[in-house]
Amino acid sequence: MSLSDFELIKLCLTGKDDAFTELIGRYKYNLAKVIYNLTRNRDEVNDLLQEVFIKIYKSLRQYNPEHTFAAWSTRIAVNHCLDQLRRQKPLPVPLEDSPKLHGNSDSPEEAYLKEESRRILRQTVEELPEKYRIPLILYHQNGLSYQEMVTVLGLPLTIIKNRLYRARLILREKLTAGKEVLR
Amino acid sequence: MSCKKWRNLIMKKIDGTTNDIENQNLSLHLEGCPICRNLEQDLKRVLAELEEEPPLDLEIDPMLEVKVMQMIRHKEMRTTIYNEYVWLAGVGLILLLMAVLLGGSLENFSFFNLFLKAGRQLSQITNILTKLEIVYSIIRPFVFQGLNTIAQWVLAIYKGSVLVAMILLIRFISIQKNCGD
Repeated sequence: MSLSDFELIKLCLTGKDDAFTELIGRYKYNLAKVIYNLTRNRDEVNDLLQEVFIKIYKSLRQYNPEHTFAAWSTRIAVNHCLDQLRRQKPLPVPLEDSPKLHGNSDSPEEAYLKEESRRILRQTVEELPEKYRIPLILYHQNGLSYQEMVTVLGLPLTIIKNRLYRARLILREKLTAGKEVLR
Repeated sequence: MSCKKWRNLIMKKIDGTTNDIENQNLSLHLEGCPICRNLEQDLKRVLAELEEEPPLDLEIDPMLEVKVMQMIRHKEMRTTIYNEYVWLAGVGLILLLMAVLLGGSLENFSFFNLFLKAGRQLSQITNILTKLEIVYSIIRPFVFQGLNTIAQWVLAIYKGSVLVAMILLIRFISIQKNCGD
């Protein structure tokens, strides 16, 4: 029977490193996705992931079992990525990070139009102010619930709901004003 | 109900938290209000596109777990070594103070001469420590490959050598002082 996250954390705190290896295995994909969605840089994901897990390990004693480990670790990942992004100058989205053309039934022209539409959408999201961009990404791309976002962002539910509401409206306004989303 | 209130309901519907009655009322409103209808359609399309990112083909380092654990152990080892240095510095200071205070009789006592002698001896000890440091830096890679036991032995020998060196220093200073007297 597999141990719960909290049991693994307790084992980590008694010096059993294997327990932390197990936690890394469980959450590396989720956190990699969060990191990628926030930074949009494939090359940095693995380095940032390592740094995030080291921060998590160092903070294990502060873990509060009232929150899920998933939300708590996401909070650390989000804060770490935001710190990194604030230190760096904003970079244009690298070409290689544009969505790749996966094999599907679309004709080359349709596939190109979809790609272009996604690129514009991604760029518009990137340009949103941080306070609107982060809830939008966490909710719509990482699938976090409102309650998880309360833990991750450390903000009251009403503020999060309000920001997400505003983010959706701004996004819609920007994309439809320029007729940028290809229909 | 104003359009702002209907907008709230549209957002609620996007979150999937509306009930049947709210859905029904909203549908009726959308039929007669092109502004809200456009908003709902635009939001649905934009957010669906946002959520429909192509599957991520991120290549996560297969050695991630190993690397993270190595870095954690490396940092812990560095903290331990730092603590050892602090410990040694503390012991050194206490021994030096003892040497100064117990190094000879109070007659013709000269702090200057004593510090001069102690300084010469300490420079020799520093040389020894530097050499030990070099030896330690050579064996350190092996230490992080799992030979922690050896590292601890070396560290113990290292500590022991410094202690012996300090004791010899006190003895030497004491003899020198007595000869001087």
